[in-house]
Amino acid sequence: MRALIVDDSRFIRQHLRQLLEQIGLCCEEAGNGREALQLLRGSAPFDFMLLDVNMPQMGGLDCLKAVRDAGLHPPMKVMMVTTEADNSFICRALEYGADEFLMKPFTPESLRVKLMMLGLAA
Amino acid sequence: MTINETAFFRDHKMFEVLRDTILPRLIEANSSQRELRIWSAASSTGQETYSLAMLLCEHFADLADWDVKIVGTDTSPQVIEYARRGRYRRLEVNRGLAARMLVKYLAHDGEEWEVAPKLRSMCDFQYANLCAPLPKLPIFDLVLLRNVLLYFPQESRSSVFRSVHRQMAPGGYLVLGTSEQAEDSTNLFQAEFVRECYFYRPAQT
Repeated sequence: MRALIVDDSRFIRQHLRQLLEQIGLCCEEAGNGREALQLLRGSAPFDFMLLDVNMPQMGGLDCLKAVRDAGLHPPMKVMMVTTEADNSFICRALEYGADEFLMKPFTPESLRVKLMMLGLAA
Repeated sequence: MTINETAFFRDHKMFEVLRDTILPRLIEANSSQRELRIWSAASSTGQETYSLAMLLCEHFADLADWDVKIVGTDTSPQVIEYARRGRYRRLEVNRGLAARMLVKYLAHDGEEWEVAPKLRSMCDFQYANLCAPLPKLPIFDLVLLRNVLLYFPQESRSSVFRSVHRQMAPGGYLVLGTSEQAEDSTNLFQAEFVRECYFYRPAQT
């Protein structure tokens, strides 16, 4: 399965890549929402996108909306990973088409369980 | 010694089987008295108990006018108090709780999330030592005794099984942790395998 990690922090991308690869996902990375859209428009299907919220050029919510509006990779599951924690923000992300939400900081186990809930890990 | 390791919807598969198979059976069996009693027998900080309440509210709207009670018991007064407060921190709500359930059933308040009053009214937390005579408890239709037996010696486990058996309705179900078995009490329970999960029913005596 293919995963796209979208975060403006190289360190966090590396950390997430390590965790996802341990679970068996093949990962690609993008540094912001715009880069992610470019990648999604021109690549083989992704099964999963881990999407940060606050990023330069294009943030996670705008990226998510663009992905869902354009119908890019329709079965792709999207999980927002962010320090944002307000219920109203989580509701908005779900309305825009997010499948799940993980708050930073998180443990590897929390990520693994969320992936299981999305059918992406055993 | 107590281990307060717990999470919302810990072992999702088991909760799916409860939702799809076990609870519908119990609800049908209890439809005349319209009562349901569930016991989270090592409830720790309460996530399992509240997960059960969420499961019922989310998938069994018909229970709205039933008499439903979910009892969580533990040996630690501190964790019982924690469970009663129904307030959880970020790392706790991150563990196993779907975002849709979080926003529907817990209110964000500062650095914590508080379980909705509707769920809290269904749950009751009290002290019980499974290795000692139990306090007055109802007879339960469903008992969750998960990931606790492995900390007990064989002799205590047998005693716990006898106590739990006495608290169960004849048609009830017992759920153990995924790596636990009731093999030393096979005279008390009959195992039933449902979709990769073991459930134990009181044997007919």
